[in-house]
Amino acid sequence: MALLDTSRTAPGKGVAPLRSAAKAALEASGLPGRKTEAWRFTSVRDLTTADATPAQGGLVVDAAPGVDVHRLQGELPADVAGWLAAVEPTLPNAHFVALNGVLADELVVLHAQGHVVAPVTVTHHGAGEGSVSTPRLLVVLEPNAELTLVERFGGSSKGLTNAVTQVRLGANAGLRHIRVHDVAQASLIGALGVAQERDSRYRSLVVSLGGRLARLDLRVRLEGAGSRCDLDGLYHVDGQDHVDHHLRVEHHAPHATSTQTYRGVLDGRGVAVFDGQAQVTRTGPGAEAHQQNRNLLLSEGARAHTKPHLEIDHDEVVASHGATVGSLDEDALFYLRARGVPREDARTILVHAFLRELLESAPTPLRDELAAALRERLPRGEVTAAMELALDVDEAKGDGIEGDA
Amino acid sequence: MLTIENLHASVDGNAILKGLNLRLEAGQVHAIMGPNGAGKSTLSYVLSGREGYEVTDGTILLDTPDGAVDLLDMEIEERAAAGVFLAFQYPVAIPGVSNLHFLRTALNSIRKARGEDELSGAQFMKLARAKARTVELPKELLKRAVNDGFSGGEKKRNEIFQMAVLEPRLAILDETDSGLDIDALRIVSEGVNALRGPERSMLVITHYQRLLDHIVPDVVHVLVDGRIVKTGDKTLALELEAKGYDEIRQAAAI
Ligand SMILES: Nc1ncnc2c1ncn2[C@@H]1O[C@H](COP(=O)(O)OP(=O)(O)OP(=O)(O)O)[C@@H](O)[C@H]1O
Ligand SMILES: [Mg+2]
Repeated sequence: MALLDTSRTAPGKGVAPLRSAAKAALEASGLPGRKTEAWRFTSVRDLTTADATPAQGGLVVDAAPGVDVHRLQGELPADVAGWLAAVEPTLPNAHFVALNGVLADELVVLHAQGHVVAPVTVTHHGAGEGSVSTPRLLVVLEPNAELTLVERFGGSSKGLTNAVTQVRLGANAGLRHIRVHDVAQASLIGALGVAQERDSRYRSLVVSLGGRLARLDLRVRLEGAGSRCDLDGLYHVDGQDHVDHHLRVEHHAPHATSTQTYRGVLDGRGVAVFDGQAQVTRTGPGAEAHQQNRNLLLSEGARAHTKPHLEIDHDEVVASHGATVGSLDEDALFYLRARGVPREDARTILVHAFLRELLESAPTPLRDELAAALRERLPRGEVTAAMELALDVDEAKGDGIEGDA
Repeated sequence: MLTIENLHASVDGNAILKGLNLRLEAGQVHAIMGPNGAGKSTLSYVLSGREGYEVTDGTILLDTPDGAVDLLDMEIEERAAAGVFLAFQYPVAIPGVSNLHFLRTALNSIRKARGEDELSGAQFMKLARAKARTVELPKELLKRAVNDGFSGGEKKRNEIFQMAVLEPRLAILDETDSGLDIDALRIVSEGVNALRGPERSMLVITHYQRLLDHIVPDVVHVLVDGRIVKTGDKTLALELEAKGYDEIRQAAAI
């Protein structure tokens, strides 16, 4: 059964309001093909033509006090239905979101109030070969709530994960959202929609560690005045890896700020697509939007496609955008080698430093884990372990060394 | 310590060094002076093995405890392990790499290449703190990314700090004094003088006689148009400062 056909025989009762709306949408849109603009550099032909069997469930939630977790099927309670309706217009990537809506067998809801101290982790281990899994997550932060959410997507076999996450931030709420895409031979097509009320803060870090296909469509609607989103991302591709990040931020209120800062390293025959959009129209005063995408190309066979674009209709917007595709800094390489660092080590140190800067703000121990995961992907990556050691210059603290190996 | 014979080198097909000869004994400090574009930095890059500098003729031999080695056969990092150190005219900033981590990795790479034990974090920090004091390098700069946002003087001090930690056999200082005020010059010079010793030789490239009041050279060479055209003692630097290069150019019939 080809991927699209799975929707016609969707098993179980699913999530009723999602399924009924998505069925019609999917009939109208179908799945993206060669001519679909947003999929120009990322072919899903293999995925749409191969046999696929819907897989059930798959989200593992490691919750924290202060967060209610609901796993819902069939008809939804009125409050959840209301939350869903409020975030619905933010969803990007209509095709796969619709497929997810038809196939999703449950809706997982995280409902947070107040300051949630411990991070909440949601893990998806990936679908088995020949199957498609469609996890669906809704995250709701009440006004003034604070939460750190870690979403992990793994992949042990060659299945397809078509994941949809929706986020609603109440007034003055703050979400630190870290997504790890580490899918190896599996494929991930993820959609993430965020709706922000007044003065809310959304801070996202997406880490894509190669993979056969890791695609994310992220759309943020800044609906309330004074809201802010910072979208950071880093990726590393090697071999035949293919990653694709499509971002879209819409400013709908005055005094809202958005930043997009993505960095990637491309080796082997890896491909990375970055398409970042910021739309600032009719917002009134005080809008600020920045976009930056930097790529380090390490091999002739790798390809970077980058397109940051701003859509602005008045002059008062403070805005910047830029994209670079460059190679390693030869002067820095020479400097390191002239001090005795072997060539391969020097390259890895520079590559790691380039990506590592974006990890700086991630909470520990996740930051160290991600730094280690990056290290493992780089040749002679172990040299960067020495770069993580705490070297303290303050003599008052004994020998000034913490955690020396 | 260092023997350069008939060295010819070119960049992008342009001949820059045109038969350079120089002999530097162990423990000696030689100054190299010369006009802009004479090939002074080119010489320093050829010695350290920078890519893009093609040696078309000549030999460069360095004495090591294991006998003389031909630098031209060696990779950049192999030369560093053999004891070559270049203090850059324009030190490179490396965002995201901390000064201390970088230097520990460099030192341990060199020690490893020589078959010596690597230094632990604690051993390294003890060494680094002591050496930082000798060039009055503030602690904050040790933690910052390599040369990133450093002032001109801080970069030069950082170069000498690294030299003090790495303890090279052959140090090449390319205009380490340029752009320094008199206090910074004194600090840097004292740092360099503290490193003078019977088993260490230095090539000090400078435009200014002033430096040589602080770091007193055994020999002064004048490099013009890719060749050493005159060699003398430290009074030659005074003479150059008074008369300029024209007279020497004419005498050498260049
Ligand atoms: N990468 C390069 N490509 C082309 N020409 C170069 C390159 N590097 C140096 N040169 C040329 O080689 C010559 C010598 O340059 P070099 O930097 O060695 O001079 P220098 O003696 O150090 O001068 P200064 O006193 O200004 O530092 C100059 O004519 C310079 O333009
Ligand atoms: Mg020079």
